[in-house]
Amino acid sequence: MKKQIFTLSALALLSFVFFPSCEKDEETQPPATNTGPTLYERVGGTALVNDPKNPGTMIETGRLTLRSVVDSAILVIAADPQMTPFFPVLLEEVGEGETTGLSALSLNLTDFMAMATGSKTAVYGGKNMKNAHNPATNPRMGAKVSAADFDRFVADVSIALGKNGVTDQQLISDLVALLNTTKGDIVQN
Amino acid sequence: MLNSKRNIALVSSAILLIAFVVHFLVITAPEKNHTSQLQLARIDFKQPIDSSEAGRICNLINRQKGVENSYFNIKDGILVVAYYLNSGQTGETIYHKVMSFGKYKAVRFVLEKKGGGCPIHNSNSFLYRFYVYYQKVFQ
Repeated sequence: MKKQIFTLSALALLSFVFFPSCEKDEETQPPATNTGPTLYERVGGTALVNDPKNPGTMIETGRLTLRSVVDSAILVIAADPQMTPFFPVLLEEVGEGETTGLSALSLNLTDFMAMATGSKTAVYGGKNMKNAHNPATNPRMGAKVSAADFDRFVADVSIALGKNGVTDQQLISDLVALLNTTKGDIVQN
Repeated sequence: MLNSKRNIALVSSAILLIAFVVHFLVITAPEKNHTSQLQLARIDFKQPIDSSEAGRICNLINRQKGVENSYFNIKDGILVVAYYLNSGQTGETIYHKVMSFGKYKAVRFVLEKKGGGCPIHNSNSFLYRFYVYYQKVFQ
């Protein structure tokens, strides 16, 4: 009995040393569908890398790419006068030196993008798209969005993609197509 | 002999358990929000800035301590700079630094305060200070 316990323990220990991590297991598994890799996989997938913004912390490559795009998009949108009327509360906070709204926006958008592109670990905990973009249900929203405003937003995100080295036209096109699936809920004007 | 094997089995199991716990913690550790101290400064230029000058301004401001990133909207002459509050930078210091790069006609964008609203948005309120304290302790 003791010999069996010893053998099992040794095998278990060896399995940790020689078996690939969960991460690699997922990579070697066949895709769940025959439609090819998800958008999340195409922007980097689940391979863990060091988080350049949080030393000592690991982050999925796909999430890191999307987070970088989101943070750049926030800059591009903040520099776009057509977008200014939609974020009065956020801009007022920024003017007063408060960072909580900006921080929440970055995290929420990253979670949303990660989940929408196929991440299995991201959880978006914000409002649904319809309520998030309706000033009546979201006081942080300054005005209702028109189709032209939405298109401008997509153009700003495309600039952010370029700033982060995403130049694959097919990938950009697919990400834009994904954004456009939310257009019906976001455009309310 | 049996004691020795039992000890090895126990040590192996303990190592296995520790490795599993460490692995689990690394995989499931919540992401720290790197933006919790990130702030934006916007400067509106009142003169045309071409792409090479815009690139030069961005390169220079990006090298400043505490500056995370910047973006210049050339068409509308708007520069936005992301910087860390805990670096000692403020919207005012960013503005003056940019103005030191050349003789520009530019103003710092400050949104007119509407007043009232949620007390958590008032930087002098107890709720706001409690929120900032909570953030510092738990993030």
